[in-house]
Amino acid sequence: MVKYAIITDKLTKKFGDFVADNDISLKVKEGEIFGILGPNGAGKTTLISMLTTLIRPTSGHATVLGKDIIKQQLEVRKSIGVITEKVTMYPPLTAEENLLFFGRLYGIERKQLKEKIDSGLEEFQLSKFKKRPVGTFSLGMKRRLDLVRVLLNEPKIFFLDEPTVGLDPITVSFIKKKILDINKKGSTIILTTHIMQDADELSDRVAMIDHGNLMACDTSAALKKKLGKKATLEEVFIHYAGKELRDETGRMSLAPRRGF
Amino acid sequence: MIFKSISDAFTVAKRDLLELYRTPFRLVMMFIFPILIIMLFGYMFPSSSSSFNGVHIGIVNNDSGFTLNGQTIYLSSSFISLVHYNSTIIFNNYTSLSAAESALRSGTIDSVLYFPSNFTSNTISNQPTSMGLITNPTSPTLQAYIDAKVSLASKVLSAELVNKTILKANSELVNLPKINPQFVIAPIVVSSLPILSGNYFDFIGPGLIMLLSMMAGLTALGSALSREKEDGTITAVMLSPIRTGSFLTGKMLSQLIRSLIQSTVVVILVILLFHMSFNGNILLTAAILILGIFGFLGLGLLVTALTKDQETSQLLLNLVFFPMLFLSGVIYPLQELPGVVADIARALPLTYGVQAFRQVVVFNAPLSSVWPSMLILFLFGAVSLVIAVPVFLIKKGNG
Repeated sequence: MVKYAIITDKLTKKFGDFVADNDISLKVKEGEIFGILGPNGAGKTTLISMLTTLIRPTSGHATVLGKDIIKQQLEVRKSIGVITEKVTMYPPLTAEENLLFFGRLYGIERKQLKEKIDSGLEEFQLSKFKKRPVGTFSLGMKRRLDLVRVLLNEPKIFFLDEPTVGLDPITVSFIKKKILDINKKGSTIILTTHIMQDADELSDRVAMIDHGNLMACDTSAALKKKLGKKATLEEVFIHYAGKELRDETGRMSLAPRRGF
Repeated sequence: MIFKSISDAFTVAKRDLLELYRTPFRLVMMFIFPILIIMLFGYMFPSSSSSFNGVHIGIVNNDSGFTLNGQTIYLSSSFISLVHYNSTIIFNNYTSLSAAESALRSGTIDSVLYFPSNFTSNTISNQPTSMGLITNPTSPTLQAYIDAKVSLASKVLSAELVNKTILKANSELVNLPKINPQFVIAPIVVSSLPILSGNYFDFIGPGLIMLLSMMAGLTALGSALSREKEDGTITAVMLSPIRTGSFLTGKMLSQLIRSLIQSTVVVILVILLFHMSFNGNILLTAAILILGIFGFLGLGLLVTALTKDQETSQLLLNLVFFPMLFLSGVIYPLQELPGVVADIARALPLTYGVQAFRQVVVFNAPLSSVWPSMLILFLFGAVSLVIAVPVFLIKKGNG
């Protein structure tokens, strides 16, 4: 029997009159890499924000590893790891201090935490910079450090929101390899990206979202097949999204929309 | 679960303080800003330890003096040197009152002393004599300074004249009781008993320290949260299994500790630099400081929750800050305020904080006399938090 990591049922989010996500129902299998594609403002980030408990859906339901995203927020957060396009570390603190802080919030025992931090920094080739303030890091180093942070929690589901934006090719390939490694160890990965090649290479299945609606959801091979033998994923994307340029209304970055 | 919530709050607070420690600029500003404010306000009014520099007084001296045995004496000269005593006042001479007046109008001098021709001769014939003083009404503190100098000179000189006259009269009285010159100079003497001593810093120091605590409480969450938002760190924190309540508690806790350190250092510096009296019980002083910060956390959180960006919340906070600064008895006493304004002042929570803090720090007032003020601060803080936290949480849900 197939186990599902994420199940959404008519998940909808409205901001005033604007419908960011409309009746999204999909299922993500445990252990797969699931790509979410769509043009700017399509509702990808809003969908991830709901699934990661940062915002509440207007209507509909969803579970992450069987936990309700509204009623069991803390439980959901315990089993997920999220990388956003924005770097999420405190610039004045050192790499180690940042990791210690987040590790404590994940509830990891102090001694075990120190060991995990050391091995994580080693794995992502950041050991040398352990005592350096994160503010002095390059974007690529910060993104790697973000991965170390997220891995401390040993999450079963990873949400990667445009993880390779603005990075040099060496870092991109390093991070892609890490994503595959993490997946091989059994974690489910939800990936949003504009880079069709990344989505095609990495994803087991992809969902196409436009104007808040789920347009298609299948393996990239099956989606391409529908358009003809030599179709690329980019052509599939344009087929569903159209060629019209998008304005950026409704664009949000992954952030808690609380009273902050 | 409860243990995790508490420990999370401490983790957040500890991180905040570590960040402060790691940003030396913010750390230094934390102490320089209050000292600067205290200096600026502290020198606004002259106190016993301060005096004016560069004061110019115009002299119009028509005094023709009195000649005895070929020697002419001028009482006006003695008067002027008494005014000059212990000061850096510069005197400019003018030939006529109108010339001095135009110099006063043009701002060359700050005041005019006028001596008529019979200034000395009147006194010799045992008649009262008079002189004129023109001061600049647009500068009240300077006016008060010159007034004090001139009235002291007139008192000293008068006493000397009375003394001489009475002694001379006494020598001619044969069968009557002698007159004590002091009885003529000042039959009733008021002297200050040295029980409460102090200076203007004793007034403004505690007021400003309390004001700074209030500001820390008000801006605590606003600035901390918007910085986290800018850096994107709040996303990462909110994606970890931490309760919003723990996060807020941690933020408040770090602000409380930070403000307490700030106030302590400022209190010590004000004592060392400005000789503010500190006679209070340390625990009671700390308790009032903490209540001063706590009292305004809720209001700050409410403003943060209701405003979208930091600029708007800053504007709203200024709206709270300025009335409090001028109405809560920080710079001048409530007694100076007109009726309705004084009533408004009595409705402001900071008024009570300032009052209690000043009484304890300067006059060593006991808990029994300041607890009502402390209770008002506590209640204000508790009620505003009870309102602010749900508003904050509702805003969170609405996205």
